[in-house]
Amino acid sequence: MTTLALTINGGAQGPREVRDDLTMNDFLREYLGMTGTKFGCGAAQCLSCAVIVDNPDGTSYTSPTCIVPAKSFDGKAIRTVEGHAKNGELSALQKAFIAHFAFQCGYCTAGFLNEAQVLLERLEKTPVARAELEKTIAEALDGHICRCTGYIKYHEAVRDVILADPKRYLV
Amino acid sequence: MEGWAAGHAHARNGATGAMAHAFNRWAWSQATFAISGQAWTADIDALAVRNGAGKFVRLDRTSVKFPPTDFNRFGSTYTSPCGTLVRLEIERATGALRIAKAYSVLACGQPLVPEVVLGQAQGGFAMGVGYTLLETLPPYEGGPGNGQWNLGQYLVARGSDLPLRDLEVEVLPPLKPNEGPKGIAEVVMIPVVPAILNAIFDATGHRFQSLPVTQAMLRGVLK
Repeated sequence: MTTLALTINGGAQGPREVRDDLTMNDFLREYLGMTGTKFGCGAAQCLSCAVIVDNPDGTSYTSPTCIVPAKSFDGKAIRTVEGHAKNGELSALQKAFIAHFAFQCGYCTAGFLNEAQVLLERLEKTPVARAELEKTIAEALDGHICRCTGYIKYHEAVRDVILADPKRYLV
Repeated sequence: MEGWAAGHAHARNGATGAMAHAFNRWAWSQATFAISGQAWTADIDALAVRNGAGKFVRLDRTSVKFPPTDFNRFGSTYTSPCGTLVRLEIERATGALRIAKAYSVLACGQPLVPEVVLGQAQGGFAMGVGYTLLETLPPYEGGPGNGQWNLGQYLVARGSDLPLRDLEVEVLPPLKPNEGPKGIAEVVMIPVVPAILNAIFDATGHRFQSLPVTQAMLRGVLK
């Protein structure tokens, strides 16, 4: 057993005792009831289970949760799909996903949302040239697998958010 | 209940029930009925209406049309025809294939939710790319039947396998003003496969007889 304490969507969780082999996905979904994070392939290959991990230096990255033990998130700060909306209002990215009908079955959406949010925050710190934008979005989202709508609408939604505020994201 | 439409209909002895009969033989039967003094034409061939708590009364019909019996010999008026064109580039030295541009066209009558039709067309394109170039499920011991396979072996199309900025989808307008919606399901993926294979033939002069056509297979015929 391991004592686990972490921050999820700005709120403290734990400390609580968890099994060493408990995955982060089971911890979120089964222990906390946070089912926004999905379980897909169970092999970290589809990334529907990805959450955002916030580094102390203000940078962030996404991590799969299906094959990662919960205990490796001890002391960390993470964000899940439940944390994007603020005061009941969806984020710009969430609104763009809806406006573009970016998802159908919705299974991959939380992973795409987290990945795209990390991209937006990265671009705020290190903007790219407009000419680099398509490639930047494509590379950022590429590991995520979607079997319904063929990716294009996700890309268009992310591009729209960036181009709606080019001074914030582009050089 | 007072205030509800049904309550008003019962209180005023208005229409409280309707029963219809319809017939389909790759086209619907059609008839015209007199309702409250107005002629109403619909894709049904019988109509009965009940007023208040009364009995159902069959309405007289005029201009009855049934689809010809010849229609029994075919069964395709409700499908959505579609087609795809692709332009691809194959690197001679490595066999690496890139789809540079694509165009899918389909006729699905009046789309109910155009955004979903577009999403299906784009997703169908991705699946067609997967079937042609990536996805394989071989039989026997080394195949997925051994229970060990996952997305590392069963490769599906990712964003980088697609022309994300150069896939054009055209939904043709309905042929007739009263043409209803027609299902598309995943039909939009079907023409993607021969389109890619024909483009590969055009580029390499080789007709592949099995799928998926991998980079190694392409390299093999380019040497």
